[in-house]
Amino acid sequence: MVRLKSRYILFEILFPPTNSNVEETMSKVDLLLSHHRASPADVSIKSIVQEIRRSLSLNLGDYGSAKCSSLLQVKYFSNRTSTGIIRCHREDCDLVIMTLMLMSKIGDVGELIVNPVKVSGTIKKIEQFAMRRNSKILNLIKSGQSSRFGDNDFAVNDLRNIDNTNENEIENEND
Amino acid sequence: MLVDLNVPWPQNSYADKVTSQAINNLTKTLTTMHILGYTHIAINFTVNHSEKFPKDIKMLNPIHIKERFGVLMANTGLKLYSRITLIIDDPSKGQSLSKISQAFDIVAALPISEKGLTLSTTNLDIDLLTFQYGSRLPTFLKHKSICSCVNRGVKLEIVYGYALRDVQARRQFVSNVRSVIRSSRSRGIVIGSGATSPLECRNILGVTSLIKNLGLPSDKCSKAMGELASLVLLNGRLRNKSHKQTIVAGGGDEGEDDVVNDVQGIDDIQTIKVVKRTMDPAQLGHASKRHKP
Amino acid sequence: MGGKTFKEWQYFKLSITSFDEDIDNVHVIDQMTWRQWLNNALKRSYGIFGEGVEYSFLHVEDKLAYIRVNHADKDTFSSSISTYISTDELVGSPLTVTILQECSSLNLLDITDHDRIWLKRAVSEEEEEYCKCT
Repeated sequence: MVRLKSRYILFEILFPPTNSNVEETMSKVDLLLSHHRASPADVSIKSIVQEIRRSLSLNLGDYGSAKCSSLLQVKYFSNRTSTGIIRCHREDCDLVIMTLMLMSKIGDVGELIVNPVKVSGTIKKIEQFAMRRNSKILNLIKSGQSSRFGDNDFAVNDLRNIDNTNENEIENEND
Repeated sequence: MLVDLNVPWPQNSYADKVTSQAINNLTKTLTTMHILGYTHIAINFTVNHSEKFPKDIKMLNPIHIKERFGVLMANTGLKLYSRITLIIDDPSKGQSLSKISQAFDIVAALPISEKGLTLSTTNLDIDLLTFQYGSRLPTFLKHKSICSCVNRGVKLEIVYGYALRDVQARRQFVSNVRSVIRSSRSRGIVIGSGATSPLECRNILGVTSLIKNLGLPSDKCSKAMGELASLVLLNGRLRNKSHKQTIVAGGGDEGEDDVVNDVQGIDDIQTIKVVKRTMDPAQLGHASKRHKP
Repeated sequence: MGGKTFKEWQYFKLSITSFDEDIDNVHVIDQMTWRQWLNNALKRSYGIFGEGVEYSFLHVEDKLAYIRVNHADKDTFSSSISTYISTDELVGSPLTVTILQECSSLNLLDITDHDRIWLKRAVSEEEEEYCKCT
């Protein structure tokens, strides 16, 4: 039985601190939190797809972009966690990842890094990986946070947001 | 274990002063690298071969890793090394490498002319060979010279930061990398970032797929950032901290000549201690015929 | 040890034409124009990564050219030049290229007698280059 073989790419958008000053005394947790931020509203599924197509046609030309675009869609993207899932053909997976790497801005939002984290053949495995990864990061933050609780308001709010969206994600997938 | 051998040090020559803002930028770049999963990073000081080098051995290495980045290393667990890249134009103007290579962990060469390339591939005692991927290669690369270079133990470095700058640089980058991969027959290739700002750092998945599209087989890609790169680090370290790649030879009798634990006299300046012992002919056995007392 | 030889280069024999006899007779196509045409073709079909495909001219004679391409990129090269029609900017009318011959060894190239000079030179250069490392 011949099936359509596709690949799902889990990616996240990182915002490295280019403007603010990084002090040497910042701990691992602080660094993690400063990189992972919620994306601005300009970054949406539509703008990401537009940017990917534009980057494909610039870097790979007519043939390359047409090859990848035939089954290219952003299945999921959440502004709060800045993570998303892209679907593409199994053979074009490398081309799409390369394009993600060469993107430097999305729409008008600059200064970001698109970071492909996991590639898998089924969307279920991607979701499981995403949940495991999130809980690992949360544990890291909680254990690092306990000694400096209350110092950094922004960090505490982010923690609650991640918890909420995790629950939402699980609910949506089970629908 | 992910290794990145090329994070540029923001100083172009010994005469330039380093601003604190530049150091801050470098720290930011290092932290972004850490978030992306890199464990070992080498900070690269690029300088012209024909420039006047300071006489004092302490002044040769302006990076001062322990002072500037000690706290960062302790917080994140990153391991930092220092590297020097010599821009080689005209071989007759340069000076010898022995003093320079003692002050840095890794030594690299960046030829920008044909003569420089022949010098680097044949004579120089270096660990890495790089090129300026944003502009044209000095000559058409022949795999006779490049292959002999790789067989000697020198690795070739691909710097992917150029592909992220502007379109013109990207074009040159693509054709130069294709040349390098073809002439080296995909052997001895190491990948570095050359990231001057935190925005030019990329994940291993992205870098691997970029280089895979340019012709390097995928298993070599992942080795390029892991095994081969750590081999370069090891090689560089051994050059300084060992005598002809020997770290410790022999154990000695208890209480007498403990070569292994005798670390007196070894510190950051005097990095190796050469101990020679003559052996009792009875212990040597058959080898005593060759041994000259 | 037996086994397949490592093929490094692919050789192409190309002819360029505008399908219009008058224009063909007037214009002489030099290596510069060839290079421009090929770059445009690769850029259109394959973008930046296509432009970076390595190729070199063995010999150019007006509308006939012998080109050497990296073996791994031969499909990219042949498909992009077969599907590209240039616009007026090069010689004032559209040009297309036909692939007359494609082979992986210099000795098999179809050439006329007076081409043997550069062919011999190319063959000897290649042998000099060849080294035992794979």
